[in-house]
Amino acid sequence: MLNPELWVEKHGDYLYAYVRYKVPSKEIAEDIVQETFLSALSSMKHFKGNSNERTWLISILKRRIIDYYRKEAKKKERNISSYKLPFEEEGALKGHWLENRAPHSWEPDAEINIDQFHKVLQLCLSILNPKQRLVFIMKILDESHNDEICQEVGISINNLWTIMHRARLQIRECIEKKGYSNEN
Amino acid sequence: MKIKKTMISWMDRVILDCKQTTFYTVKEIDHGKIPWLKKLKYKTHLSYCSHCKKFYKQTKKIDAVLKITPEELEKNNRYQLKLNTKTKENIVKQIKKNQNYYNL
Ligand SMILES: [Zn+2]
Repeated sequence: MLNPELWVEKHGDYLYAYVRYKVPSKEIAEDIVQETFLSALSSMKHFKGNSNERTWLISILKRRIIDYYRKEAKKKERNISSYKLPFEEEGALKGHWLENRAPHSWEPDAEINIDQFHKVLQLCLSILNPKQRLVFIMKILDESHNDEICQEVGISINNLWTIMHRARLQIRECIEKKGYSNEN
Repeated sequence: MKIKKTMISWMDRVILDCKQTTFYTVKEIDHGKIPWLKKLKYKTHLSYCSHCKKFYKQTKKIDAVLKITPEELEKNNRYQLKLNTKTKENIVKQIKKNQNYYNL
């Protein structure tokens, strides 16, 4: 049986830890946790006894995270500089990495400082255009089918992969540019 | 010169360039379907191109940090993520208030 009075004690920290590194700030994470509980309260009749309470709350939490980015995507776009892919556009080396933009620094195998890494990561997510960011987050949360994502943003499946390709190239490059290295 | 050009176009047919390789890398990491021949070609490229290999590893790492679970975080004492008491009290208050509203 669901017992909302105990939710915060039983699942509060867990939900918070889940969302904290997926949104820009502590405050936003706290708001989303609160919204999740309240939204769970209003949809208790949809709770099916066969999934456990926490799994159910996490699925609501994921929806709230998507909602957050959806609202962000509706806001007026700030000036976002367009991103040029880091590959040669013509000549014999067409399609190969531009030497000065190829992956160089930070060792992916070394241990990282998650807290620091996350700060840089959030900064880098913020430079994606909002629609691209929404697609990216929906993929990361792995809660929606590709066709749901396409419908949500009004794109084709080919667009989806182009957007993900660009987004991942841009984020990786940004992390390197913002000076993330294993030393700090 | 003619021979070189022919070589490159032949190579491109057999293997993929870095742009295509990173495209399939992303597709793999994000659980997209890749035809087996494309997969073979892109794995071949990864085996000798150090830039693309690094792209693959770094992108995987970024993905892992974004998808890190509360369980994994808890194992590492450095990153204790907990709601503060005040926020908790506030949420409990909200729940109780709304509970009456939903007549539970
Ligand atoms: Zn390459």
